[in-house]
Amino acid sequence: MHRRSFLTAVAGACCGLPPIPRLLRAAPRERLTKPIPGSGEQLPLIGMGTWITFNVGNDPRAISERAEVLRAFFAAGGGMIDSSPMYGSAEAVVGQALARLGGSPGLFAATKVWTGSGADGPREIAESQRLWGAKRFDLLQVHNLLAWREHLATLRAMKADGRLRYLGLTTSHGRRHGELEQIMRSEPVDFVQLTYNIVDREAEDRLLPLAAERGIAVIANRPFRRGDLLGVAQRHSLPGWAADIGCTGWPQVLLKFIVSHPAVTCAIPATSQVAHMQENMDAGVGTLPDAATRRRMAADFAAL
Amino acid sequence: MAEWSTYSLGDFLPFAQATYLRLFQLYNARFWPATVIGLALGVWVLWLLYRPAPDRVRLASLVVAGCWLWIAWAFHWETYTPLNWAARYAAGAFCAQGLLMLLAARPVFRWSGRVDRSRAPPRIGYGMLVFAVFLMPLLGVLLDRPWQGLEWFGTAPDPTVFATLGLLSMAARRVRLILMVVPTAWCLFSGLTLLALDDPLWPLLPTAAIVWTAVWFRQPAEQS
Repeated sequence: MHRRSFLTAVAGACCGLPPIPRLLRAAPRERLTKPIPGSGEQLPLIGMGTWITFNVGNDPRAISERAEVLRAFFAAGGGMIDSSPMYGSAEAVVGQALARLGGSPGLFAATKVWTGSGADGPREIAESQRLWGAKRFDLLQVHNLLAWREHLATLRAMKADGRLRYLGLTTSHGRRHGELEQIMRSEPVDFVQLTYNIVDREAEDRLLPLAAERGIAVIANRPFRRGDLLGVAQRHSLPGWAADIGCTGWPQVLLKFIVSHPAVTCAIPATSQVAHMQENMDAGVGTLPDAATRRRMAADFAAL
Repeated sequence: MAEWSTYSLGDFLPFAQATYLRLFQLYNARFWPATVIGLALGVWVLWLLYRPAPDRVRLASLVVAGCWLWIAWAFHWETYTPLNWAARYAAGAFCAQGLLMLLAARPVFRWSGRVDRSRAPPRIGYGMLVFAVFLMPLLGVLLDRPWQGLEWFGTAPDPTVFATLGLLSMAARRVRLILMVVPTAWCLFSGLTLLALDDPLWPLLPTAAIVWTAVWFRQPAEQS
């Protein structure tokens, strides 16, 4: 039993609160976190992406459903929400859903700047802040390295003024890794976001070791390859080792593989369903696979 | 160039199929009774073209031009662009098509000659109009989609584009060549969108555009 659970149970018994077993069941499981290398701030391993899933326009029903997804996310100890101006209405929907919750404890607000003009960056960032209802972002990233020199200058100035906590760059689908590597070597950045999952592992060769060496946090996108990996995996039963690392479903297996890499700080699966959110968040508790188990996981998945 | 090969069709669509289908429900509700007016206009166009004298064809083209302009603003700009930033370009293209059709309908231009409905292309064109006005919306019913989200002539792009191809079968060759660019481009764009969304209706518009183009390019210049 965790010390927190034990103390909570004792306190409950002493104060005439609900019986100990109920309290134990209600007690949240310990969330696994990793430090952001540049600051030591702890970040939950499982964040949330918004590509496609939160782009629902002005549909009030869908916005209510997404608010419930966010409620489940925060109830399970979620932290980072990642979006972009490129994702249609996703930023506006995140902002409306957050407003409905009336509070978002632990929110780590991350979005991107996505315009080919450096001069347009500040206007776009201001619009993103308005849509999110955010006084400031925790993290702003240059989307797909678009006009990265100009935007990084803007983000550095914002960080120096205290209007931004962290800055970074993103790629996806394994594109432009060479250019990203050069930037990571030459520019001080807090975060990089790239595609990393049990199949797309090119980043293991150079980018992840470089991130560890340079003290750069890593956000892994496309953890399920937009659902394709789950589609393959869920036709098969879970391997025996899944129980050893506390997994009851394939989403947890795939996410634990990602976040157990020492250089990866968090993964950002996207979903539009509360049940799937809860499944995803279960990957952020319990045991993470060691290096030997990770090798076995990758080999077994490749053999599916 | 190598980077483009890493994209799949789905990477270009920032929304899910359920969101796209729901879009039409919200659109029809927001602009109600535009769908009813659109359907009525479609019936009027069919009546005008039943005996397609040049003035009646010209009037039908004015009605359809108005539908293009409406869709440019109400659907693409107001409704679709918040979901898909690329829709702003579709809004521009639909607006341009509407304006071109208005321009081409002016009496100084020879929109069409005397349309001989005994020839195959005008007959096929009229059949396409009937299909677009009455049958295309019902395809959604066959796929168990809610009736509130059906796509109607005059307000939704696909049936309006389909009907426009039918109308253009009655146009003079030069007019047809100019006015077919945007509709055929939309057929391709819409087909690819639906393909990326795994929608079973995806082949409909691209096939129509290909067949329509092939039929017309095999025809000699029409009589006037």
